[in-house]
Amino acid sequence: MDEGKIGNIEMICLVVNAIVCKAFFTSIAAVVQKVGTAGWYMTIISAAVAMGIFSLIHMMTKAYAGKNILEIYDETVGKKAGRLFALIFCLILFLSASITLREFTDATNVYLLHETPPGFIVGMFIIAMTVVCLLGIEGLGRVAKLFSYILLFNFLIVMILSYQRFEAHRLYPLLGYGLGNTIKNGIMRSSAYGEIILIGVFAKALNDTKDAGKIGYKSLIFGGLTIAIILFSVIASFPYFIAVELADPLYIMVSLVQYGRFFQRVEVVFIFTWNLSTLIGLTSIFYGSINCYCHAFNIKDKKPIIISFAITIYIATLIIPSISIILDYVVPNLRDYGWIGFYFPIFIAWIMWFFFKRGKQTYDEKN
Amino acid sequence: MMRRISIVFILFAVVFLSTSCFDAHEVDNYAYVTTIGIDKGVADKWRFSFQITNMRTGGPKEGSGGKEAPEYVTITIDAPSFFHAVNVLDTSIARTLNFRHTKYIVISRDIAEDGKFTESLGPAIRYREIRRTTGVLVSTCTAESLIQEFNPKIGISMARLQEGLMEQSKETGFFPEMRLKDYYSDLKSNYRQPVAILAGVNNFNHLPSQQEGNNISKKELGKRIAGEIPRKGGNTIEFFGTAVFDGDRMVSELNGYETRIMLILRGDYNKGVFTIKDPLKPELYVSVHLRQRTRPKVKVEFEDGKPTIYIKLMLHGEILAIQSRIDYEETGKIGYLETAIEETIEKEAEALIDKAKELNVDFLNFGAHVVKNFLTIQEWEKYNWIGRMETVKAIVDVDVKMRKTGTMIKSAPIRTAEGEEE
Amino acid sequence: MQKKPWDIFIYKEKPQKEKFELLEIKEDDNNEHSDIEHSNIEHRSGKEAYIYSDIKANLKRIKEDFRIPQNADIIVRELKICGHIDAFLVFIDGLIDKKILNETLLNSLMSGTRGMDYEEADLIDALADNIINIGIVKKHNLFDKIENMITNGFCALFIDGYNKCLLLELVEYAKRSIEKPENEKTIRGSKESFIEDLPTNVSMLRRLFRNKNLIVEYMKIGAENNIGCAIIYVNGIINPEILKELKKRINKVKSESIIGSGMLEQRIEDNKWMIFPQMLNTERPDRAVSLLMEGKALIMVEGSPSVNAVPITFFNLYHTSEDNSLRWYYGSFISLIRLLGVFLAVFLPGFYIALVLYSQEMISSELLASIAGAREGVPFPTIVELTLMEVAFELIREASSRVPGTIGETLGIVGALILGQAAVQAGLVSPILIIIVAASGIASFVIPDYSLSSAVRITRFFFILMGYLAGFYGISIGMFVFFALMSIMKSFGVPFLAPIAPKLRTSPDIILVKPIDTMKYRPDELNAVKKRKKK
Repeated sequence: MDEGKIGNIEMICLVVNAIVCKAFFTSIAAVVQKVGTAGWYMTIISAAVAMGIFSLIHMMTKAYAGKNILEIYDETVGKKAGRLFALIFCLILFLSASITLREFTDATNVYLLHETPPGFIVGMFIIAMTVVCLLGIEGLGRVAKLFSYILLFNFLIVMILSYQRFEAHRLYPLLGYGLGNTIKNGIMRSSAYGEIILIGVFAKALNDTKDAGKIGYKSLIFGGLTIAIILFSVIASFPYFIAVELADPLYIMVSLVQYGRFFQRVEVVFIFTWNLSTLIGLTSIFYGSINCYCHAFNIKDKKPIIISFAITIYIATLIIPSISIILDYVVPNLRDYGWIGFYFPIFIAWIMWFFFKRGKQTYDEKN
Repeated sequence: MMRRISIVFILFAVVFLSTSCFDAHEVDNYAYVTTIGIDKGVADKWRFSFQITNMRTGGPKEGSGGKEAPEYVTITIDAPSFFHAVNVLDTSIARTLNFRHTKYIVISRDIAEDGKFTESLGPAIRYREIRRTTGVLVSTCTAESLIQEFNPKIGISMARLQEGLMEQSKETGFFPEMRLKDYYSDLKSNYRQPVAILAGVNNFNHLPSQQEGNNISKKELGKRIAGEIPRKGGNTIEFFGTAVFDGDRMVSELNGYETRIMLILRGDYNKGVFTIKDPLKPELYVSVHLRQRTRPKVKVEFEDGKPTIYIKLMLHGEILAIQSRIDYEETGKIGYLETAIEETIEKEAEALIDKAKELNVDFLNFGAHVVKNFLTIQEWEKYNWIGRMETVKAIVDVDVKMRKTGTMIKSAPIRTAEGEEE
Repeated sequence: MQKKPWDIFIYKEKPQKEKFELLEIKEDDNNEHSDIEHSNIEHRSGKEAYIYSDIKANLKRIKEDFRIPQNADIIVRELKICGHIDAFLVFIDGLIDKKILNETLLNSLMSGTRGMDYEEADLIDALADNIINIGIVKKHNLFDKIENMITNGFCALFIDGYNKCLLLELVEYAKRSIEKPENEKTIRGSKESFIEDLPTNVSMLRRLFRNKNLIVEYMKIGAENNIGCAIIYVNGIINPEILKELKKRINKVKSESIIGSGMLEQRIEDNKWMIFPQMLNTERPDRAVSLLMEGKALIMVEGSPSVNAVPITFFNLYHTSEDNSLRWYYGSFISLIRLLGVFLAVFLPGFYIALVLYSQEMISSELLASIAGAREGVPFPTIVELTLMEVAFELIREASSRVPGTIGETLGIVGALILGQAAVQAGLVSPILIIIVAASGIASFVIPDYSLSSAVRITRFFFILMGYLAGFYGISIGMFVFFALMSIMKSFGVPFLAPIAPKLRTSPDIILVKPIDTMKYRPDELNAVKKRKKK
């Protein structure tokens, strides 16, 4: 199936949304729980680590021009291991999508649609996701770009409006639970930026795979900044011991915006930011997962796969009965150990390429 | 193609229309609660009071015919828990109680003093419908009677009265603007202790009649608390003063003047009118309008584990009225006025800090400055600031600048038959 | 092939349909690449610029320049003067007075020259002096000049053996009553509109665009009714791929009869399932010319008082013909107002229903009090109330456009005012809802394009449904799918939302208009041969 091409800005929008949409949910409370008041710069450490790992992808895409990361796996570690790696990517992206979707569903259920069964919310979400996936990456990229500027604008407006409630002393003690703890957690949670591998997966949709590096760094900087702003504003609005209590601190923060009698209750602006960003982000993760699967089994036509994946993700999202299990076991483990799935294949492939293939490649180029 | 599309469409329509709209509720299915109150119960553990509006205020007055239903209803119930009460009440009013537009939570004084708020109403903050911008009141009388009186006597809408009252905190500084989110986080805070608005019902018996004459001892206006203001007419409800808590237990109350000084020290003060004794003619008064332009500058130094806090307050003023007509506008004399205000505020501030030390309660937000000397949360929590207020040494420095003199730059003397006065 | 029950579980790859996509072509802003066909015409210099004395060479050159026979309304009439000297006339059909041509000019040229002394040194002067009984006659020997005059309505006479050409003024534009545009009203723009006659319409375009690069090609459409259809474009600007595809699609139309451009439009559009129009329909010649200049092709059908332009984007439909003639402050302001109108028309009722049914906490208390107060006593649920009023509004709109004459306008007022007022007083609907419906209805009228406006009104119902299903969550799901479908849509290979998504280089006139000096580029998505509007 012809994929269509997307531009660099479209790709940045996709990846940034995929990275940032998690920050609208329980992740913030989890971060504050772990590192206290130091959360806002911890995430920058995470972004820096992710950037280091992305530079490996960048090196490999430079060496193998015109190929996406999955094809590079086939080249560096061989067809069979490459297939395994593609499946690992597929699995981790799929898990990431389904868990974020579950968080989204629960947040929506708590704050917006109290009586609606989660199945209905997830169902609608997945139908939208499936329709857009069927349109291909071109439609996804374009719609991402179309909304991203509006979303960014909304987001900044909301942050500026919340400034009223910020209090500087809540940022103290500056080091949170100690510098060592912050750095350790920062490195552990770098998997929050794991969606950066989507650039590798979608590399062939770019007009030029050489741009992948530039796009990756830009998306990481942008995503890191956005998450840092979110964490900063939440920590400045709530003392650390309150922030850990809240299911969705960002939403509560927005609901506190109040200027005079009429200009208050502006959550509606934020609901759109929240919903649309999650829709874009999750659809791109979902599509990335399908791409990996199709590559692993060498499937050309994605359409039937999309539908079966949609059904699978519906089940995977709703299979865990209680939000407590998700918050206590699933989410922390995905965030803390997700880097194994996201970064491990890249490491191996990079090592194989750096020590075994690179010499041969340069030799080939010379002749 | 067409057939397939129509089948898909019909399926979607059936599935969605039959399973959706769980949350669609018409506006008139709800009874909107504007105020929640809590007292000690008689028949059961707690007594909850709800003020419900029928949301008719903005609608067309004509039409529909018949008798005008009362616009506000107060319902009181004794129940073991908040949601239990809510659910039972739904059976009698034919509409679901809705708390999305609740503006105030009223705690009666005895509940506050026993520290029972966290048991009775506190857990309800988890409920999605209660917004964290709700105001927290401590009632000097019962919450039930306060709620009954909590409606506009002058023809304005309920919402306007309730939101307008809160805004007066910024205009006068006689009570703090205390929202549920701050109150709740201060309950759990290790930075500072919570305060709440003191509210009361004024039954107008504090205004002595002209005949009673001089028998009654005079009490300064600002040194009263809510419910005691000598006035008559208007809304019976008033917000005046502050309830001070240690954790969830109310330990003291601040009168209007103290509240203002507290707000200035916390940096939450906006503007208000100060009336002080004329420095040159002490039997007369000078009124000035004071604004806090910048937050107080605070420096904290530690001497053998005991913090010394240097506070610099900066206020700008405008002369409103000088009863003695002395030309304080002049460069030579303005200093008298400024010094007099500075001394007054300094004295009151020191007295308030002493009160805080005596109670060992930090309602002055000093913790926010002390915390800057700590690097990690572990150290900070181990230090346990809120138990150490009594060890504080605070030095207050007030700086008042009179910037404006109003519409007059000079006042000419009054001439009588006996000649020019002074 | 017989279907078996288990076929449903077995996957078979489907044959891919051929898709047309407009790809980048080499830019040719400076005419450097002479390999592109016909782009080297403009700048012939030296000997090339003058006409030859050999008539065959002249004829060949003229045919080449005007792209005859592709260009169908340029007529070359060969004749002999003085009995045996070869000559030919070149003129544009529709721009000249045929009566004078047939009765006077041809008559005097053919029969009046018999017996003339063709040996005479200057036959040209002699003809002008003695034979041609026409007011204005000019002589020229530069091809550029001559071709320019022809497009201005002159008739050129070339005679064998002479390197000069006679230009005879026969200009006559259609005098048939050309009327004001009915549907696309403007304040400052021109007040004429196309009529049903194809040659007249072409001549109106020719008058506004006097350039030999304007090519008019005629085609026959409709297997039975065989009516004419013209494809008009500017050579050297339009991307040849568009042209090829357009002709291919028109030739594929196998329908028995095509009546009007609306039918042809539906037969050749890209995607029949999309709600948005994929062609722009205009009844204004000035608008048509500005579209031509952007690198679009026009399709004109005999009997239709409007033309269709392809390929288009959403923003073509969104702009009026007037936007470019207004100063940029006013243009920007009006454009913003119109954007607001589009948003209100699509989302306002949906937002209202989501707000009132799902998210009462987001309305400030006083406003909620007014809404609840107004709703008190209304017997219907909000959704019924809203649908009822929306349908009533559509009824009024449709009725008032069908009722003849001035009654139509009165009907609108009667319907909107009386019905609304009565409904409120009877307690059937709440007054706030009337405001919502009326506001979104008025907002839909600011959209200049009729098809787009219809699309917007239908979309409104979709968002009402989504808002009813799941409040703001439903609306955001709807927005996501809706805009994804919209951005994947194409009109002759051009993405519908270009140049916003995908982002492309363009002149700054998408929403906010900048001063006219900054409009340097043609829309990039059309991949025109020349991308810059000026050098």
